[in-house]
Amino acid sequence: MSVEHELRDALNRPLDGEQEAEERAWRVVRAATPTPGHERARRNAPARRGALMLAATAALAVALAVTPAGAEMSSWIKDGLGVESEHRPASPVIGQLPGGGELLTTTPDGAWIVRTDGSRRRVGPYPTASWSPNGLYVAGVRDRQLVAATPTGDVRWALSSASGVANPRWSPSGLRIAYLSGRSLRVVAGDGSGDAELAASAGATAPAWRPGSEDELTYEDRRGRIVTISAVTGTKLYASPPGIGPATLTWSGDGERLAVISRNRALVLSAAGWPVAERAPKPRGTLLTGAYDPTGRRLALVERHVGGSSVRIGVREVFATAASLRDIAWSPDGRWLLVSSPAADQWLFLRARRPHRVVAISGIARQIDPVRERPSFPRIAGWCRCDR
Amino acid sequence: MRRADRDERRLLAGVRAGSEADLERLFRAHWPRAHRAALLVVHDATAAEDIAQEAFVSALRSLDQFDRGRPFGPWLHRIVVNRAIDWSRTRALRQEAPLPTGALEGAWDGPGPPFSDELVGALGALDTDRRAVIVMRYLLDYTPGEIAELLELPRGTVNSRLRRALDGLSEVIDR
Repeated sequence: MSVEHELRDALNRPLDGEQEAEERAWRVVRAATPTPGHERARRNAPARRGALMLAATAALAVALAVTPAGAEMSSWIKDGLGVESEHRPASPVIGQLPGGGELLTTTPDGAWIVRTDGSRRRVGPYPTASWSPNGLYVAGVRDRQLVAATPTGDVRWALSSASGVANPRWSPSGLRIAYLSGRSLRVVAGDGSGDAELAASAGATAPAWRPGSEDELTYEDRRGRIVTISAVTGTKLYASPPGIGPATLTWSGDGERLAVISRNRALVLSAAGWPVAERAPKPRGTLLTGAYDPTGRRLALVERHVGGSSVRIGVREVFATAASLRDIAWSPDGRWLLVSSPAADQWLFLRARRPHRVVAISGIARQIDPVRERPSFPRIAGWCRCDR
Repeated sequence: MRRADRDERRLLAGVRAGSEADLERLFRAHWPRAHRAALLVVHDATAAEDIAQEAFVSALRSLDQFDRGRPFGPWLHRIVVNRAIDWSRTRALRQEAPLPTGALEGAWDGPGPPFSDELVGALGALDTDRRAVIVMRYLLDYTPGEIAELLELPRGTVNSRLRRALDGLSEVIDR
């Protein structure tokens, strides 16, 4: 038999898993394509358009007045960016990501990646996850396992811990992953080898790697002290007085500032551990979270206070809304901030430099997970440049 | 016009009108080869599924721009194969952190491609461009001229890639 005949035979023989792949793909394709119901609704629309417009206008007026989502919409018009003239309705579709890169999001059902062009794909069943530095891998947690997977979902390795696994964070060098297990802080090499305890007494705060360092890691211990330790030698480089945590820890992009964000203040420390600034919420307000600009030293904070939520960059309030906000992430180029609003089921992209803009996208939960009947609103786990 | 062409036109018209039944028939008719083409080019089961899914969704979303006088298959295959080639090239260029050479291999236990056939497995040793033309020629049954048109390559390049790919695979068969 000739090579060509053998090739035809071989290429057309059934392969393992094809049928399952087809069924999975059909569910995705069906969910991503307008259904007959949509089509009928579109066809019938002209006949009833007048009545529907009237009803919709009345409903919208009520919604704007009473619902968190409505409050969100109305507040865009008067937000602190001065974008009244640029106000646009929320887009129902995740399109091109402002700021580029790729977003990693998680729901209780798994981790998802949103690519630059807005397309999504599921990485795996990881309710907690984080990017590797260049976005080549995702460190995910499932049950009591830490898993390293590719963005397409291929599992490279997994390790189990009887004490559980939480808050994995990949080091900027890519060589190590820090994670919490029970009461301890542990570090494992990027290839899954050399898993070892780095600190025996760690709190629940996610650890943070210092950019530009030889794998210096900051964590909160169980006395509420903020500790920076060398993941190479195990040497403690700095420890704050007790009682600062629990907190969110975020390093500036240049590795020169550490923000320790708790409910009642954001304490900014130098790399040597000296306090250099402090930010407080408005009276009776609380800080929810914050993040440093990956390209510099601009600290963005999300605050909840009477009457709504706001976003600050440094001391300047750049956005205010009546709805509650939750997560925040900088785009890799430091030009955009992504803030999530679970109550409004929206993502808000705020352009952090002039000319200021707000790009709102609605229906996030359904777009991230189109298959599940009642999808959860996703957490933002990271936004990477993803130079693969 | 052939009956198969007429049937496909009816299906496409139904899909444009929002018929889920027609969408499923179109999907079932084209998915197996599209998926297998992606799999044979990238040799990565997860990526192939992803590529074929995205290509399908992309093709369906662009149906309005699709020339109604032409068959759907070649259009879909062009998207699938080009995406598969892009994916393979990107993977070849990937560099993560400077891990020691060979440090990852023993520790990684992800699933490999589901190939039990030696010849199909040997396709993986060819470079991406040659794999792609082999798949288009011997799985999707395009002539070298059609492959040249779909991949926007000179016909001589396609012939040359086919010849060299077959030479490489002959060594496996002759062993």
